Amino acid sequence: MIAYLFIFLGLVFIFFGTLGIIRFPDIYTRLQTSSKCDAAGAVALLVGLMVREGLDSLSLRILIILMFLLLTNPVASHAIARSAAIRGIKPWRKKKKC
Amino acid sequence: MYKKGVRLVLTFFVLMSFWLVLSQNLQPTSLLIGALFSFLVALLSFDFLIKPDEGIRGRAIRTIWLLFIYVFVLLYEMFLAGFDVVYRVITMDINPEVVMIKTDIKSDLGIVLLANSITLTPGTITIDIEGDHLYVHWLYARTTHFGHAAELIKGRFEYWLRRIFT
Repeated sequence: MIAYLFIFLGLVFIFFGTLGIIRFPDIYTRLQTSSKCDAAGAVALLVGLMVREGLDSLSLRILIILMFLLLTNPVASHAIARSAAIRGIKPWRKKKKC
Repeated sequence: MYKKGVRLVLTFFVLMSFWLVLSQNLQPTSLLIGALFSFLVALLSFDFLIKPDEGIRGRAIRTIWLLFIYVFVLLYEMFLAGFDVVYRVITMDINPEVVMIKTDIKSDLGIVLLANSITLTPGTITIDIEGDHLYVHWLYARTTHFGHAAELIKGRFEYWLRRIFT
């Protein structure tokens, strides 16, 4: 039961992350949704699988995948953001009322 | 300061346990191949896994325990971040800004972990690092003030990381 709750939560996160990539205005904000929601969603999915599997050798392997995901996901989004900043793309800003 | 042999043996055990977890196989052939390649890789790479000047103070267990707690703090913050970003996606209520914050952490590994944690938490991405200044893109900027923004973004991560890397 708890396992399916986690898996459902992960799917919801990934759905809204993808929706955010379509809706948001520029590269940085799109990167926000893609990195954050996909990381949270994938972690929730993997934790759900671990709970469903129980304390097993398979869930140990899933734990290793989870650790690698936590290490590599921010590095990838950081690299994309940094290359965008070096190319001189200005972040989108809300129009101020004047 | 660890001797060369100690570092070699530690690296060998890390690699060997990794092999055992991944291969799920206790046949003698498998164990022999694993030991052989773990030894070869350890011989090539023990200098990178454990630096000569690390672990001087002999409190590796405390560091590992604190890192374990830190992972749970990070996961909790990540789920909060997920809900926050989902809310922003639905309402399109965003106000992006780039702010610069300063960190007190000196060690390179600590700064890397801090930057990664900032990238994983509510609506913030580390864009660039110069020395101890971090440029952070903030999805919903509540303030652009230097110190206040730093307090909101770094929050409890810096507290834990300072406990780990001092």
